[in-house]
Amino acid sequence: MTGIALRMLRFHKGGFLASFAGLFLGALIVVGCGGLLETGIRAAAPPQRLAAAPIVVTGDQRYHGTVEELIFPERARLDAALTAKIGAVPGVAAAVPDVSFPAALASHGAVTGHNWPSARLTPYRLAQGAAPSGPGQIVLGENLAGRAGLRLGGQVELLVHGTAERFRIVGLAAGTGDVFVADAEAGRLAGRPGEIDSVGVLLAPGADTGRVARAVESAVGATAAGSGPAVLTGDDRGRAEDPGLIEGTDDLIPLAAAFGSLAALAMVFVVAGTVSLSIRQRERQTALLRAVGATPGQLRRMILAETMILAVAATALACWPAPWFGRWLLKAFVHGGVVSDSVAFRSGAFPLIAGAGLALTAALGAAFMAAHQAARTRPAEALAEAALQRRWFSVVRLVLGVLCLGGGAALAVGTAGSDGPDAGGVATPAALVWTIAFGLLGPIMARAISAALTRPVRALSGLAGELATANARARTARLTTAVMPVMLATGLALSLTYLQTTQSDGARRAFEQAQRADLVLTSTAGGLPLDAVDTVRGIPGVAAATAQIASRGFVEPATAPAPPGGGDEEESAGPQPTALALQGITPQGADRTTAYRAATGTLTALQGDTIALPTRYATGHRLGDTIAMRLGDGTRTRLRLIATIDARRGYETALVPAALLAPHTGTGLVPRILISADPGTDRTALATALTSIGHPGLQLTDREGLAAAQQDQDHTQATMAWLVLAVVVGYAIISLINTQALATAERRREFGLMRLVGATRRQILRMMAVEASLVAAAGITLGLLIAALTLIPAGLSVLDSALPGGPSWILTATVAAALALTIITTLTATRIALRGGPDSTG
Amino acid sequence: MIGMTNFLREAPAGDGGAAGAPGRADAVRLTSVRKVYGGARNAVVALDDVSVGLRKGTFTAIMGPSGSGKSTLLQCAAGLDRPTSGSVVLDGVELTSLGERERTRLRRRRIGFVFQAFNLLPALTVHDNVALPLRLAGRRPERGAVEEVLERVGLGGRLRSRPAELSGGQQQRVAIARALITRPAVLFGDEPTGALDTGTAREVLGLLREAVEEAGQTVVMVTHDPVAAAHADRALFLADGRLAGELDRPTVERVAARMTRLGADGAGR
Repeated sequence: MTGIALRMLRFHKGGFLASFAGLFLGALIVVGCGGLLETGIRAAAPPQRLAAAPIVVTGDQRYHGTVEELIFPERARLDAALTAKIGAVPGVAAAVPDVSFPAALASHGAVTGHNWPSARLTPYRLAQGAAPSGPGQIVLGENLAGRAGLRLGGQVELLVHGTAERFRIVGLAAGTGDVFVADAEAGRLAGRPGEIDSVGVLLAPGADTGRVARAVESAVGATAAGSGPAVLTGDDRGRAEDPGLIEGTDDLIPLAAAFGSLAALAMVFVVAGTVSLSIRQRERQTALLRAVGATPGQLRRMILAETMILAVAATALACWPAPWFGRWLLKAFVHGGVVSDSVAFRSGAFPLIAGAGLALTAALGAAFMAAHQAARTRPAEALAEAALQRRWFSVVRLVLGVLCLGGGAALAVGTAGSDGPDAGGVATPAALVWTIAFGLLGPIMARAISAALTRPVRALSGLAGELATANARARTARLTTAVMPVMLATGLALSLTYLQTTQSDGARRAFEQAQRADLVLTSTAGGLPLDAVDTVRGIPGVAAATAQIASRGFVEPATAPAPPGGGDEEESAGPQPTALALQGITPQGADRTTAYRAATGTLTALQGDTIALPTRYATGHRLGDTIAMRLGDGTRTRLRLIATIDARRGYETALVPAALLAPHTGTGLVPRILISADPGTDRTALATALTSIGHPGLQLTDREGLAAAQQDQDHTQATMAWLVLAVVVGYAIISLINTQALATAERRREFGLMRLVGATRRQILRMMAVEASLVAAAGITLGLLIAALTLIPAGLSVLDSALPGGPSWILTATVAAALALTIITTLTATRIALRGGPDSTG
Repeated sequence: MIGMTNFLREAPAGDGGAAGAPGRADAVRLTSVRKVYGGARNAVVALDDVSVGLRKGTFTAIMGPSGSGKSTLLQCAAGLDRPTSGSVVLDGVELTSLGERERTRLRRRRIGFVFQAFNLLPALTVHDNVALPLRLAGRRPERGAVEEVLERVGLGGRLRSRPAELSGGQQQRVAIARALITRPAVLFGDEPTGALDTGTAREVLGLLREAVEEAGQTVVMVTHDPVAAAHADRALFLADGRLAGELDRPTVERVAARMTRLGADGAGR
């Protein structure tokens, strides 16, 4: 049948064009996501600044023995003495310490500083001047100097580690925007003299990277079980530049997977629709084939062959621009600040094969659905003058549809029961399953809805309405095909958009509930020293001041997850640590600046090695118990439980003393001080007093400013979701247009007949407008139903209300857009079909 | 007219064996065939206890007013549709006990069809349309067989044409060629001349007649046109799903007279 299928393809180009477009775009998205998935899995961040060092030794950020392969987000630093030890390993030409620190130019914002010797590891070379050799000397990157208008020999004020320091510009480095100081200065400015971030290893000529790496491992005491620093080669070296990188790329994996499967699902619907439309266009031909001896199996094979030829061509063609598309998506994520810009897009053969495989499977599924219908054509229809549609609905479809409804219900219950921040993760597949269920049961639903609409439509629109409803009822299959993309676009757009806004609302509400401060003091110099809290508290008009440091930590299970030395798979699958948000605070006045309230115990006892746990995480412990914790940089610590806190599920935070947490964060400083003002205090005077406490780069934000900043951060996280949404909904919209156009063009003959019996162009257009409204109404109703079934449980979980968060204009706009698109596309296609005049009954 | 020589003359030799005594045996035999459409409440009886045998090598016209059940009779006889009850034996094979797939297989081996219109796949050339039943059966047409059968229907030069490039009469001739390529036990026609002008219709009917006379082909044709029926050996008349008489060696006048009476009867009810 392949030969006949090919001939059919060549002859009915128009009908297949829609399928081809759907297949091509779908495959493009699916294969592109495959590339993104591989990028996430590999988390390949080829080193940029450390590119010249074949081996990099850095602190081990992995939480060994955990099933999820947890990563410590704060940098674990190395002893500077390690450099000499590594330098002595045979085959090592030079071991170069690397120290980086955040800083800011008083006039030109944030920059990154390094020790000058590490410039060799890129390498950066001096364009002018000399290397910094002592205190007060700095080398600026040319890019920065150009931007800030600074010249060799000039002075620059650097805000770093909570202070402001003046440097003389002794040199300019080519090709960078960073700043460099001498070794000892870098340690001091990073706030950790005697500690370094990494050691870059340069090899002696002829030395083998692998062999030297092993020698370095044994020299520094690195073992597979995870004691000692990590020795990195190849792309892994990028992890030394940014320890938080892996966490960022972790997000890519579920996102790319969800995105790819969404696109594949949409593809099944879209292609099944266009294929069955193209089959319907040659209904009599299929009947003729049956009459002259094609078995249902042969017919099925023919449809499958046709679709697969198209799918293979479309997928092959899509594989070419797909990496470009994946790269574009990644770039958008980087731009949105979700993924580090050092992550390299990696798309090998695997995502191409997997993506193409998924795309072909989707096409095959669609072809099966359509072919199943075509094969049921009865041969006697070849003799019938007017081919009216049979009811195309099988028991298999009904059973599958009901099963999917069950799955949707199960996921809805799961969504409602999950933690606020996790609800989206359950609700997205729920939206998918509901969509599949409704797609399978589409014929029944579309029929029911159009039947319900028949009366009002007839009452409203006279003859046009009568004709339109008669058409809709006589041709349920065609109606269903037209309704499905409207349902898909509306349902997905509404579910995904409101899911996003609901989660943003949930995060904002949690933030606002936790925040009681009137003012927040921050510094562009990387933070404030801890004693600044006391200074602030002493200012007249300040009722309370609290330092606040955000980090993450892990509650260790009762038994250590991995006994040192035994990295055994089976042993490591024991009790797992619990990750949770950590906040370091100074307890004095915290009841006035934050919303944290002790359920048991008291927060004022938060001094020394103590912790206050959210109630949920404190089960099994009593006040006074010792909790084994790992801090953000992996440091083991044992803290006494002094209080438990009530909090919304999923937004819980554990509290520790700020003094305990600060040394285990990047800068060791306090990033923000929360301030409550005395009632009736002159705010302007207070602001002046607060910003002149003798620390550089101070900035004061009020409540609104803070909420805005939080929202900005939220938007960053939402960027990914919005982007995904735009692409999937865009695809659904294209297929909506595609299907409506095809379904209308198919009726050229019918329009010709109507014109012959005296219908004017206007009357036909009116009839089609009513029909399109009917299709849109049915599709929107089903889409709303999908959205409601997805969003109500999500709303219950995140916001404790059945209504999702987010503005109502999105609903209005989506419904209006679906209606407008359906009607405009249908009428345009009708107009084109009518162009030939009444005789052209092709 | 066009000579139906070698190709068709050879045809019955290989195929007639299965049905027992050649010449005398029935190519199709319907016994107490009943066909009801619709459900219990809105049942329409299309065929009501019809029994008829159609002999090998004869040309039969089935006639009757609209709604008399003549198309249903053809569909049941050709295995396109399954009767509600009764038996249909085609070329020695009981059709009613066969499944959809087996009926399809039998159809493409033993039966040829010519419909009123829309006989050809527009995507395929004339040659490929004719070869289609063989291709569907998974066979390659014998070398020259397609060319030869097209030569016989007078379209030897149009092998590579597409149906859209042919006139209505030419398309029907291609359809006849396609129906004959498998050397079927029976060729069924459903108003094969219904969409043609008188002259072209006569040519097409002539082709069918020649197939019967020169090659011993069995032809069964549904028509409402007395002129078409006059080309047949025998005309069967249907009214309200029942047999309402028959004419041997019908002429236009006698057929027309019978039809007028049937029509009047029908209208009188």
